Amino acid sequence: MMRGLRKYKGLGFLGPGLLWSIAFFGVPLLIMAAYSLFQRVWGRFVTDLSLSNYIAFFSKPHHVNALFNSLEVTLITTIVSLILAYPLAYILAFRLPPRWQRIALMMAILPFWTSYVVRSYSWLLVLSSNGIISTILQWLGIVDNPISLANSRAATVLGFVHFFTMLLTLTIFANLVQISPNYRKAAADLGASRWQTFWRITLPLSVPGVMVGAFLTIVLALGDYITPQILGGFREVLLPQAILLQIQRQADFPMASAMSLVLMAVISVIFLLFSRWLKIERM
Amino acid sequence: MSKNMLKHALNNLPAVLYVALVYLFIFTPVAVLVLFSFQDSLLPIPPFQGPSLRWYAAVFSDFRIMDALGNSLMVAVVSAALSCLLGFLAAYGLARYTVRGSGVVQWLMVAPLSVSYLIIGMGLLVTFKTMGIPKSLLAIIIGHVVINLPLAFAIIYSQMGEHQANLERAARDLGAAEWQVLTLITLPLLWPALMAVGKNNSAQHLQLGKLKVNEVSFFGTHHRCQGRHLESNLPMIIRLPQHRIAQIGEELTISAAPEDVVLLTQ
Repeated sequence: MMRGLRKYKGLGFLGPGLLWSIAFFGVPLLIMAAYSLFQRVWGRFVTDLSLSNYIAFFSKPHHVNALFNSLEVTLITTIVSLILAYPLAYILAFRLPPRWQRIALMMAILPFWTSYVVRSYSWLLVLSSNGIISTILQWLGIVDNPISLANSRAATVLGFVHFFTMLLTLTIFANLVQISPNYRKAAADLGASRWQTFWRITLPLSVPGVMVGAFLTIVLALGDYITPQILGGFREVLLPQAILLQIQRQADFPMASAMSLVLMAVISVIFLLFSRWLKIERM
Repeated sequence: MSKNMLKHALNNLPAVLYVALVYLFIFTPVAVLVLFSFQDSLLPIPPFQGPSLRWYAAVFSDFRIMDALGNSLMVAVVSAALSCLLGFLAAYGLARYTVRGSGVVQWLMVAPLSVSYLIIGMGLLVTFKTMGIPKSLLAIIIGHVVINLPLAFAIIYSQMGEHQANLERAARDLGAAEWQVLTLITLPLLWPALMAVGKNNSAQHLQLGKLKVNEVSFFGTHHRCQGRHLESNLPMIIRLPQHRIAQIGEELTISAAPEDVVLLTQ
């Protein structure tokens, strides 16, 4: 009797959160999936089920290009961010005295407290044709006329790298400090050099942190609309921009739903690739 | 400055330089933004002519911007409170009660984390459109809770350890009602954990018997001893804690913390 009651009590606590997730995440996904099978013809929705939106997506080069642009930008972003973040996390974790660690970490995540919009806009101040970099280059006589570094893929990648370096530093740092120092001491006692200790002990043990950070980076970068919109402009459209264009310019909800599900399918594949490292405790 | 300190500083120079460069990268746009918010001309471009508070005056006197700020604050506070409440209850239910299919439940709770915000927003947009619900602040709050609930749940759930369950059982044995257990035991215990204070590990050490020391050598930061295990006569190398020194011929009681024990298998 008691045991049976306790089971329901657990569900009672879980209920509200679970219901919220199902009602506002699960159900909308299903409705979106249904929508993606509809069509929009002459401004009206036709509810005949067909795959025509998906066929249209994969047969139009500008849509497929948007997907590949997104994948390329995300891949470059993830690699550059990892290269920047790993040494920083390592130095913070092992080379810094503990009393400095807190301050250094706080400083590293300080820009986190502003939003995507503010961070992207502040990069615009640095990169635009009358921004800081252009002014300095002219002042040094390296270029004669104002140059704009904004509205390009490089600007989008820069904006992304800025944010994800911070994110990756945090996940890798959290992983590095959890590695027992005894492993490194044991390796040193057995005659390993500092480099060997890093290469054969610390690096392999930090892989989970790297993978969790890389996964979050990929998911967030693939789905971000704001950074490419502000820094990248429309010269090269990424998939989230293409999806929003369907809604804002065409009001084509079925097509936008289909494109969202393509994005979700890509993310699902990436999730499967990373799933062995993704544990709830590490999130 | 002594010679040793100089050498230490030189050793650390590349690391210090690297950290400085990355921090420069992280802070440049933020610093530029702050600086040019004090600009005393129409455009936020160099050269800096200021300082002036004219743009702050403009922001605070524009009722549309102040309205938007109020809306942002309202959405943030309400969605954070809802996410923490729902996340806490779910974590508590899953950590303290046996729930059938808890693996599935856990997966369902964190699933939105593995999907882009764009997809969550698109799903809600299409759903609300189908139901004829117009765009509103409430819709924004609902979307934010979908995004933040998994984070709140995952963070709180990972901090709910078994030692805390014992205290909760004790409180129930002593006659506390469920809401008292929640507010007087669980929440106060969880508070420091949420504030990211390090865990204190005081687990039992594994006793390994006695060792007779044959040789001692200093390894920079600690001493290392070679000797023979008294019970098994096996040769052994042990590492002494910092500041501990051993004499040759001394018999040491040796132990290992559980996390020090590494089993090597082929």
